Amino acid sequence: MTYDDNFETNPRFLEAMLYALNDPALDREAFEREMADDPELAFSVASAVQLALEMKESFEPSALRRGYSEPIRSELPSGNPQPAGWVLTAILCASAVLAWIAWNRFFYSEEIHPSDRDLVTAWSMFRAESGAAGVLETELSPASYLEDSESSLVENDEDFPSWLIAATATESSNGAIQ
Amino acid sequence: MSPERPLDPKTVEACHREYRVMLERYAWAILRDEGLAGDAVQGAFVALARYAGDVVPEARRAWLFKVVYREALRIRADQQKYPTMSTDSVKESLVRYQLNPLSKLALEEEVEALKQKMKTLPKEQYEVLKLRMDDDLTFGEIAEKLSIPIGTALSRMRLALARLKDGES
Repeated sequence: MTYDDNFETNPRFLEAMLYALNDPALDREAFEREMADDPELAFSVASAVQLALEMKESFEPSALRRGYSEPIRSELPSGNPQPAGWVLTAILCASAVLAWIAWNRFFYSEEIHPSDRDLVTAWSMFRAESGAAGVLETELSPASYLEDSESSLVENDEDFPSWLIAATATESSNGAIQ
Repeated sequence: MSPERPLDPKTVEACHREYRVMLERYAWAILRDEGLAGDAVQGAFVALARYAGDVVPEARRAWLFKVVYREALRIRADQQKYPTMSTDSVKESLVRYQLNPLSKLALEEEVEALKQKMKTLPKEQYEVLKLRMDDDLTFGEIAEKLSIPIGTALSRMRLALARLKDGES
């Protein structure tokens, strides 16, 4: 709101304010008679009421204006907000402990010490993917191990040159003759 | 009853936007009642729409203030109502004023600016202003309380108003 009457050029503004405030220092009826023929004085009264309203608001905000903040403020906790901080800290600590337990359980029980069930599962998956189950079964079974061992021994025998075997046999036989 | 000289509705609407609040302040100063002041202003705008067709634009504001004045006196005579005055009743008009969000925002800005100006007032002027506006003492009571002539109290109020209104001492 703008005031288009200047106080310096309108020395009657104080009277307008006294009228607005209904102060007994002003002759109210005489002032009203003057207002009837002086619209500018009337406008000064309106400006005075507006200024009085603003001053009242400055000194003491009205209930309507206070209402914008006070109901919210009254709902806020009035005590020390520290307990809420402790609750939050406790929740964070508990979460950290649970995360640590879950982390350890995952590594120690599943990777470092895999269970039999996990081994069977992994083995089945490997078989299905490789398609060489028979070969692997043969190679890894105890019987096949024994067969392999015997065959390797035979093969080792066969590694001796035949001339050496013959020479050994000749030498033995010669020794026997001698 | 004089013959009607209607004013076009758009002009009436523009006048309503521009002058309504100040007219309500004025009517309230006369009637000391928010509802009656609203009635007086409403009557003035009805008259504006019906009879102000030949009022030149420069004279419309003065015309409206005069009509509001007459309406207010008529209503006051009808009501035979002269309520006692307290500056607390100044705040009655705040309720209606704040129904308009833009007006509320403007009022808040004005009040904040006024607070800043009030901080710059000399102590003796601020004292008189506070006793009058906040404690609702009359100037006679203020003069008695401060042991000063009533003219001095009024002078301090005048100087305070000059500073608050125009930003000068």
